Amino acid sequence: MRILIAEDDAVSRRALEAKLNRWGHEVTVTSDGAEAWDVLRRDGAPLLAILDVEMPCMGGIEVCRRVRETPRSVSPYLILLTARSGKEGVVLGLEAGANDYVAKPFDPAELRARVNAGLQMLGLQINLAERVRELEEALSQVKQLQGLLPICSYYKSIRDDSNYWQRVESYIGKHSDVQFSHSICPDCYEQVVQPQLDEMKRKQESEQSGVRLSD
Amino acid sequence: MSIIRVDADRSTHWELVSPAHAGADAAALGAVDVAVLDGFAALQAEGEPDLIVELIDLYLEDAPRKVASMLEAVALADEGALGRAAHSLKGSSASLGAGQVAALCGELERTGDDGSFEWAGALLARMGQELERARRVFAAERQKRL
Repeated sequence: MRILIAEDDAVSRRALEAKLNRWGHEVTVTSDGAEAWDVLRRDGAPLLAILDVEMPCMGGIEVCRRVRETPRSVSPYLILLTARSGKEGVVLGLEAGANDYVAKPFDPAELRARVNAGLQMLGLQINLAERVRELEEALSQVKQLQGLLPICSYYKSIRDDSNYWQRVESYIGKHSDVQFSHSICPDCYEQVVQPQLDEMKRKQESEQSGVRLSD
Repeated sequence: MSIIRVDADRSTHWELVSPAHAGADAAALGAVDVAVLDGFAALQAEGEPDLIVELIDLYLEDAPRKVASMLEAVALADEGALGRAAHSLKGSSASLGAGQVAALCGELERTGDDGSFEWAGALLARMGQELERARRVFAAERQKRL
């Protein structure tokens, strides 16, 4: 995953970039907070950022605050690089929306573990956002039928909210995206259709026999 | 003798060191924990320029600028500027194993906290000496890798 780093010190910045590259990450390098914010505000910006607290133009804490003020479907994971003695910076940073911090000079193994924890969190967030998007899409295609439906026990018509009796397919068609194709179930065929066919056949035969007698 | 010359135009330079002194002589040994520097070898990407040389060059380019900022901050009694410059050089020095320089930068960072610059000049002079010792080690390490 692409990671943004913001560090004003050239040596620390290059060393951090080399470490992240070595761990298999693509790195976007910035040298102050204003530059970092300019990248992070864009669509498709890196979702994990490592920001030095003390930088010219704009510090890491202000970058955190601005990122958190911008709503996103997946919220970026922000790690602050703080001075070991800078507890005040840690508190301010976490309050401004940082997810984690690493004190400088940092132990590479610790930084790697914290980056991996961040990536894991982002993975969960990305999956969750995808599921929410799928559900919202599904929901937009569904018109719900809710409540009790008064239905005629004989004719199976449904009484709507205006006290008007509608055929069941007309009612359901109006309250959902369902379309009906008419058919005949085996029971109805036997009880209704077959007797009608038999009756028609019987009538036809009697008409034919009447014609023969008159001949 | 100050090892960093700050010109009237505020540009900074390392004082020229004769070839006889270009290596890491005995006096400079210990100024840099070479094991810290060697640790970066594991991060070397194949086909890329030598990372350690690159880091040393960045450091040697940046350190005089930071010292110049500190000298200016002391002259102007600007504790914020002194703290920022000292903090920055402390970080890069510690990253590359220049422990003494980092420690002195830490002291300089705290010096201006109470608005007193009484010791800042002496600390800067000591830091300049340590920086020169570190520079000799870095120059020798750089030479080995070219």
